[in-house]
Amino acid sequence: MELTRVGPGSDDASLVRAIIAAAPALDRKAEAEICRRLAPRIRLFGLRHLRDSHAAADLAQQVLLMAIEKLRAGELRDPEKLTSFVLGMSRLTVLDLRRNAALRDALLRQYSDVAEAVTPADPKVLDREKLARCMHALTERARSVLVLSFFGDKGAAEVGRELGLSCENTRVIRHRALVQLRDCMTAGKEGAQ
Amino acid sequence: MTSSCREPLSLGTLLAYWFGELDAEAERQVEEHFVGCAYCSETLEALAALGLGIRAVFETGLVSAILSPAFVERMKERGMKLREYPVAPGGTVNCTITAQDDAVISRLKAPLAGRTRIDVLRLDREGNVRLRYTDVPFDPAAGEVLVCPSASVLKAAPAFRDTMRLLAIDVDGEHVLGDYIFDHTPS
Repeated sequence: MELTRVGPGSDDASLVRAIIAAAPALDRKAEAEICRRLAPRIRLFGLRHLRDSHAAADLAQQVLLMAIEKLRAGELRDPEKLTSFVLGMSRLTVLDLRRNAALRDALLRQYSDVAEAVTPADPKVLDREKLARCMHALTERARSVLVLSFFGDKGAAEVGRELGLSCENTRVIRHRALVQLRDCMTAGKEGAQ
Repeated sequence: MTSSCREPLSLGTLLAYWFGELDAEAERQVEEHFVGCAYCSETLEALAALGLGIRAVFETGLVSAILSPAFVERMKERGMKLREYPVAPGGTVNCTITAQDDAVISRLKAPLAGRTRIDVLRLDREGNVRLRYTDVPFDPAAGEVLVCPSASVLKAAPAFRDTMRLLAIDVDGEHVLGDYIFDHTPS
């Protein structure tokens, strides 16, 4: 039974209010919209902290499962605080995931009814041939900084130390290279090898 | 892309966040912002996608790069199969790459202490400059420049000779540190 009118134009807090107002019935539309919005953000949080795309996808699914259950139960008193609510669960779940890989299966069993709705979409996959052409248009130094940064998830201080560059210079090179790469990928300005 | 954000996080901030360069409080603020902001989370997602793409094109040998010795060790730790060719100045090496190899590392040995700029030239059989890598990154203490050519290009290449030349650049001009000859045969 659909109790409220929510959709892509609703703000997050309105969606939360709709879910709370529907209880004990379920507002599937509002739940789905909340999950659609939050899944990629929680996955990013997970990628940043777990450095593994599968683990990040697991995190997003687990956090959304718990979030929807808690919203249904009216445990979020102030709908405007959805972000903090979700982040808090994300931080705790990252800690749990690091400690206990079995948590995932337990949660999926417990909340199987909403598992499908909260499965995050796959992350964007770029055109690799085009990206390679764009990378070859960078200077050797810039390409080295990007490869060392993203392959090893290393910060500017460590990358700079390995390449004989200062931390600040590495940050500048990294920043400019990414802007050039992004422009190349979006505007098709790749140069020749 | 979602329409806008009144105070969008800068690319510099997002990069610093992504690489763990912010202090705990700044990191918390960034997370509070992007988890609640469609625009900034999409910007961060695009950055993450670019990072994953960079990693993928390197792992699949689609790009060449100058690397550090520590980085080459990390490649090995990740299980990448490397074929390494250390070469002294004036040296020649027979080299190849097999379908099972992930990368080839040309280790160009040279005295680099005190050098501030190094260029790498790629010469054809006639000694003409085919490519010039300007101002390549290097660790003066390492005593070598590590060139990782595109594995996908090498795997498709017929037999060829590739000469690399290291040039040191300083106020007096260019100084040849050495020529390094690679005789490649396909596997």
